Amino acid sequence: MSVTSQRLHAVRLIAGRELRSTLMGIGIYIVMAVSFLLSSYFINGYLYTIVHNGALAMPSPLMVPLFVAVFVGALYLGLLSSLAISRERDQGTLEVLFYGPVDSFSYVVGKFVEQMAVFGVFLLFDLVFFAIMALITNFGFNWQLIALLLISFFVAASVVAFGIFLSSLTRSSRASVILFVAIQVSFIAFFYLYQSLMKIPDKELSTTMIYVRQALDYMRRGIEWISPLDYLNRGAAAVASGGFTGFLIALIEAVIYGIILLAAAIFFFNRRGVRK
Amino acid sequence: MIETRGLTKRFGELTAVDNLNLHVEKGEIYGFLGPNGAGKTTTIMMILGLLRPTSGSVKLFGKDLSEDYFGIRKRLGVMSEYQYTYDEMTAREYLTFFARLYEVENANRRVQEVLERVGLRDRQDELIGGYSKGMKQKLGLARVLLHDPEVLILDEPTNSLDPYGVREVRDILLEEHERGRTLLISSHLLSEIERTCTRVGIMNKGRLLAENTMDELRRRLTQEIEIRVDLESAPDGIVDLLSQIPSVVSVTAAPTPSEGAAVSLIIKAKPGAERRAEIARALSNAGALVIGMRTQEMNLEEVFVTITENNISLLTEEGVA
Repeated sequence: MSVTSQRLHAVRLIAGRELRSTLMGIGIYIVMAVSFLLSSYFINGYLYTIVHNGALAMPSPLMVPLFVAVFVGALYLGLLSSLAISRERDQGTLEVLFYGPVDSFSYVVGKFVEQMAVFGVFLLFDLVFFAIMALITNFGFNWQLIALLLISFFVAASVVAFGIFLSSLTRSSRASVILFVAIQVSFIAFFYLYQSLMKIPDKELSTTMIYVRQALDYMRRGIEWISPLDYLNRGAAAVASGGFTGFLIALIEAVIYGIILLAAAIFFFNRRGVRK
Repeated sequence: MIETRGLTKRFGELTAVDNLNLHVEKGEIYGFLGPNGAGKTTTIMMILGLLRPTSGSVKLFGKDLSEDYFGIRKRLGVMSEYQYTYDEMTAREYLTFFARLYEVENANRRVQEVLERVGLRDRQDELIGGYSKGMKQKLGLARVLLHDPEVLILDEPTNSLDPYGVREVRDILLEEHERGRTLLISSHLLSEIERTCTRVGIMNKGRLLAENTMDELRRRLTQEIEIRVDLESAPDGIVDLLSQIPSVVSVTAAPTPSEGAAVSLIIKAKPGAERRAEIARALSNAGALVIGMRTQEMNLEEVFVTITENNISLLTEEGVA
């Protein structure tokens, strides 16, 4: 049996065990319910507009609710992924796995595959939910929704890879969660700070503040490539604009980002080791 | 089967394992002993490739782990001191998962076999989370046996077990030994090691102080042997007579004679296989009737304490360490 087939065998088993464990838990269903509630809130708002104004000027009204559902799912998976390695290291079960025919590649990829399978389940429920919503509301289930579902799968891969990467850096579950949340909050805080500064006209800013704003602009360009949720934003924007090239570029970017982070996760995982 | 050369691990200023040369031969039960913090677990982790050595090398089955990572792992069965399990699984599910991971043929049948062997067959469908420590320990052993490994590396295998469980596990390990399996057992239960191991390695402060059979370790560490002789009758001057034997260091009468004996003597003599014969001959010539004679030997606990705390030079002078 070649090394590749040994690894794939381990990947399949690790992913299968984890998937079963996640699907048997209640967490995923709670998050799904929350995402559908949030989506319903938006759909309800559109229906309210139609009832009171008689019309809704949107080409695809289910786009935003679907984006919200996908965003919530991806964020949850990112958080789950940030625990992927550190939780098992905390519990000591990681060490037991590595007594056997498992290496860092098969373990990290197994975790990744499992998370993606969970997201696949998520998308399946999204598909059913939004198909039903389209029928009930008559908003229509068009190709843009399918494209958004498709690209969200690849973008979720980058979010999962980001979570696993963070998990490979930390020693405990708590540290992983704190790091994941802190990074996401920092990105969001930075985004709002940047947006606020950009709204202020140049003439109202001092020279120093203009330099600060310029520096923030450079930082924003960097963060766009680091923050996994920015890939989701770009993907959704590409779908909304309707251009196939933009869609393809967003998809390829997400895939490359995911591969780089997974490779980094394997590297740091090797350095950290499997012991508690 | 297991060989380390110059294995060293440093954590900053601390040298956890220092230039360790360990040899575990095929088919032996090797007892790995040492006080807490001696470096035993660090050594095992390096042997398993789970901790990178600062220097030195490890060979398993004559190969470096990187030469055949998956192949070597499948030939090892490893059990740590604490049993880390997936508590949300049942014992059957847990073992089936590992049977598939190791690609065990007829996985379901094999799972039932090992569950039967460790006495958990009746509890196989219960969640592991509800198991006692002792049951988890047995489940850990079942996992180790599942793929019929050639080498078993066990860290405190009788930890958390009651005396009955200890005996069960000991019997299983001895059966594995009889089947030609090689065992490396790290334990602080010296009596367990003494009962099961063919060879012993004693580690302290990162160094392997001694590596030999129990008999050989005892022989090298014993400066004096103690022989208790029970006599039905003791002629006058017997103590002086025995004291004149060159190899005898001292002779004293035991405060309480053994049952059926008129007098019991405690004789301290220089070590040697011929001492008992010399003493018996002298007593016989003096007309004493010997009804019992036994030599007190060091047990492993005494050997361990002697090596780790007191008399390391006895070994190093003879080039053991």
